[in-house]
Amino acid sequence: MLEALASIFKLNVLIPWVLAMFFGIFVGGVPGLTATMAVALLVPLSYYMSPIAGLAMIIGVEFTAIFAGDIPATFLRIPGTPASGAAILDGYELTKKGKGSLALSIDLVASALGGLVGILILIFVSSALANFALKFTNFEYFWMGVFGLSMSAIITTGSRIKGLFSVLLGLLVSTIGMDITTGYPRFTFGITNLMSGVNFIPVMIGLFGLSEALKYMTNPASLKMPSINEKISITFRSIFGILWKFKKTFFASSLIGTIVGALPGAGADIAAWVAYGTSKRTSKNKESFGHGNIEGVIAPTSANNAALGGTWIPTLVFGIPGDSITAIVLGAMMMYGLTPGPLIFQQNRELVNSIFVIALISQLLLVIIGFIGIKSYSYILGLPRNVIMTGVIIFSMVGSYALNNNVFDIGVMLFFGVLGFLFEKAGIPLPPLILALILGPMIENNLRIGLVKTSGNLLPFFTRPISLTLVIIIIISFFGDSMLKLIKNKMGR
Amino acid sequence: MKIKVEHIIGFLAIFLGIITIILTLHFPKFNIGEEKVPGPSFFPNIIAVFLIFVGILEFFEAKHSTRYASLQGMNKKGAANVLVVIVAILLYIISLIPLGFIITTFLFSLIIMYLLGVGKIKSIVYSFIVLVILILIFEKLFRIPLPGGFLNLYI
Repeated sequence: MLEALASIFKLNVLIPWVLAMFFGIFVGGVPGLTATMAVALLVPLSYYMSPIAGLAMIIGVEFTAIFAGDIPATFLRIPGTPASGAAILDGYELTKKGKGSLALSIDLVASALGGLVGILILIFVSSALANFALKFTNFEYFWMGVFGLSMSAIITTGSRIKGLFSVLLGLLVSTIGMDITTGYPRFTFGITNLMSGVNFIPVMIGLFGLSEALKYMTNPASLKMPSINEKISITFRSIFGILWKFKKTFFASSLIGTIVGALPGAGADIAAWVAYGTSKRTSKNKESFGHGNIEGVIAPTSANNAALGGTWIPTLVFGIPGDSITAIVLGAMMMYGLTPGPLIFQQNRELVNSIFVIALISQLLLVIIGFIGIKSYSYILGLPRNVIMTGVIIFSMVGSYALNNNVFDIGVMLFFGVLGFLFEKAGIPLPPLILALILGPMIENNLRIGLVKTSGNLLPFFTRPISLTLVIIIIISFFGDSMLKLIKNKMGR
Repeated sequence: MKIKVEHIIGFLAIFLGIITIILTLHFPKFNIGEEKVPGPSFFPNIIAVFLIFVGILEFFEAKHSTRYASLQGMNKKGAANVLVVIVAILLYIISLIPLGFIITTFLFSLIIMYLLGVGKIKSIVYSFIVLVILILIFEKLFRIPLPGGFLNLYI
């Protein structure tokens, strides 16, 4: 470990590392630019550096970009990255109450600590967790997707039936495009742009960002814009005090984040939703979720940063990427002449230690750089509210365009922006739609492949140990409350 | 006659479910050898059945609901504002490629700020600043090519 420390405390490592972390804050804070994009942009630069400097840049940018996605999500209701979708639910509500900076400060520290938990699990139990993750086959992945979807019932406020409608619509949209098994174009109506499916980033920007701007347009004078003139003093002591109060939520979410992250194909976005749903489910104040509950801020942010540590587990242990970022990391490592897999722990022990140390120190740097990011971003809210709303609409359009350099994505954003606006008027919740759109392909593909494997027999979906455990968890998450009430009533009698 | 929100959602869900089933009728069957396996229509059909079910449930929910379909809290000016923004975005989509990013974005920003009552000079200044920030971030820093439009011929 000492050798690892010595290898990273060099100017040619520290300078690009810190600069990359500032870059991550910037990328995460701009809707339409993703953490994956930031990592992809840095890889060619890192080619001219030592592997340790390159990996420091990648790790640094990854953690800061995922946190920074929460900044526009909390201040403006536009998720900066897909992993920040769940952050808008309570973060934006707190901003509306004039507690945006406080929410983000807690968010930041929970992010860093969540990242720390994820890294510590990576260091100490990576191979055991990776072996567990490898036991997941199509049957387990199907239930994992259904479990994620079951969270929509929990995160839904108001009518469950309307929530289910939102889920089904999201699932239906996820089937648009070329069928992965047969290559048949489904619901594309001859539109070439739909062949590759509907990208969920413009959908998310439209549903949350544009719909909010449209709502503002209906009555600019009466709707309040978030304020930054917070009269609450924010100190580390007070933040840690709040985190300590909700330590169960924090640890459970970090653990959920790491486990979900360790599953190849399930990344920080799914982790955040699952953690949010679970913390709402287990909270004593579940009614206040979605109305500015601080637990609703802590859960998704600690989970999504912990998930980043989780995604490195299969990457380092087996050379299987945990998400799109670690897929790029794998390519970069090969470019440096390193081969991830079990042998890397023996052949390149020093480098692996350096990765661990870099990831740990990145969490400390994240707190410092993150605070600068929050402070800089909060000045935007000092601008006239009419100008901010114009900026929200323009950034929503350009962010959607920038994704694939395609005006079609602006159309998608507009469609879902109007849909989100109408849905909110009708009392239909929006988060289940986005959750279903993300999980739809995972559920469909694993269900179909599973059925092909078993010649249409559904039994293996229920009889395998992990599958059965997941089914039981899903049943408990749906009916647990009612069952508990029933038992309590019987005991009372 | 006043229509309840649940009636609209219920109708929409049933309609979407039926349309999905009709559209999937043309999807090809998928066989591996002699064996029939779930094809491209399998999952959409499951969703469609659930949609119809949810639609029926919504009609039941409507019985207990007092929520009528109306543009709640929206006056005529508000509705017009929303419509102008939607039309402006549509025009933005149509004109982005031929007119280019600079002209289209600047004009769009001016229109929206004017709509929201930002002063003339302020609108021009803020629109210019927004434009410069966007170009610096997307084109200069991230090398994302923004459409040049007809200006490309002259610059």
